[in-house]
Amino acid sequence: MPGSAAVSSPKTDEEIAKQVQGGDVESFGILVSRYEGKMTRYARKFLFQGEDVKDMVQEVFLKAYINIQSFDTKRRFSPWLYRIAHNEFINAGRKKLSLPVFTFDLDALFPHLAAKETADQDMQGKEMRAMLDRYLGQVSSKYREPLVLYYFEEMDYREIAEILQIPVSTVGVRLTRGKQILRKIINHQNIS
Amino acid sequence: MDSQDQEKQVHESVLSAIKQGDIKMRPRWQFILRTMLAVVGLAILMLALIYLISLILFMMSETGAGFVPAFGSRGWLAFARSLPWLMILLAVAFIIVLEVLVRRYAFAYRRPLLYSMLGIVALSILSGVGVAGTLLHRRISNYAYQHRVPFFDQLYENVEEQQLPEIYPGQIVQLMQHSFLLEGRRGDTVEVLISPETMFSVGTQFATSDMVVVFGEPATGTIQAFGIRKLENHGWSGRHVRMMLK
Repeated sequence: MPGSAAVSSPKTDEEIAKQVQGGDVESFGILVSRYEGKMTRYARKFLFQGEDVKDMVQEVFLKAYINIQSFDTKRRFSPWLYRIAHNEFINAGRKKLSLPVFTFDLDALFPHLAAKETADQDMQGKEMRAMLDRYLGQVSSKYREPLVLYYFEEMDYREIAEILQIPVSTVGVRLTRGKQILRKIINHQNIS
Repeated sequence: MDSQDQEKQVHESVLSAIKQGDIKMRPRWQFILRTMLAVVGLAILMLALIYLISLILFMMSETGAGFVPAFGSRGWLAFARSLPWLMILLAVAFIIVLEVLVRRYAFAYRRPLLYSMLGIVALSILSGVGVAGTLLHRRISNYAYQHRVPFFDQLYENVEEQQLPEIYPGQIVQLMQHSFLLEGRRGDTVEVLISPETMFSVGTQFATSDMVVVFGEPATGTIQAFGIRKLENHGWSGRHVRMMLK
């Protein structure tokens, strides 16, 4: 339009991923820039430290690049990348953090009613993040990951379900139980 | 090393690995091929499971084991003893493997595990019952004999040779006052003794050439029948056909 400043909105992750699929290697750098902070934080919440975090995050991006042609650009990019990170961190965690190789998950076996967040979600969110920062290491990995994805990565239930490949209702169950466990830990700390 | 330095390092090392060709993007066809192979693998596994279930049902029908629960608790006990447990365990293993493979797909992991598990069990059992109701196993059995197909010949031979304790399927060849002569699948004959305690459906009339399953205790040359079940439209497979061919 003449006389008006054209404001170009930044490209979405999915549009950039499509460019990478078409051979534009440089565009992958944009995705790395957008997500490396998030991936580093996610790795740290998995209790990895120091050089391990750097190596792990690097590996996530390399795997993402290798497999980018399997990404469906009609879907959201971030859950796809987080799924790669989840697999990478779980595999590394089995070696370095002695996570169990196989777990049978009763939560995902039966149907549950979907739990909903309450109205004071924001306040709870801030409190939860503060509590999680302090006590995250004491929560088992099964409940830690949905808590991290929900409160730190600000994913919704559906996205968390896609990343962890579990039913949406199970995400609600794990978040509720995770919060209960966290409260128990805090109460125990206060008493002692 | 602070966080910003670390991020810079990650960014640079990822891009330099790509540019130097240390890592390469996998082409799309590889993912399509992998998906197709996975679907074919799942289909083969599912078909194998359906075949296995239908074979178990065919075995139970051929040996007469599937008919004995009608004769009360003793019949149920004999039924439980006669089940091909190894094949049932193999079928369970197939179901578990299928469930593990199917869980990788969104249509399965978006729902509770119980649903996909029940879906696989229901689909395989219903299809197995459907296949067992066809002439497939009889035809394979006869074909295996005539053409000496490795493995299948042995498998179906075992089904026919199997003589379960207390369960005698066969054909009535001669009726007597309180007994009849039964010709077994191996061509051997045995006298089946009928007493007032012998259970069979009300109004059942036995005639020569009737196919029956006798549930009873063997003695020398005779069987004291606890129950007799007449089989409608039940043909012979394998051995009998072989005898006729000879």
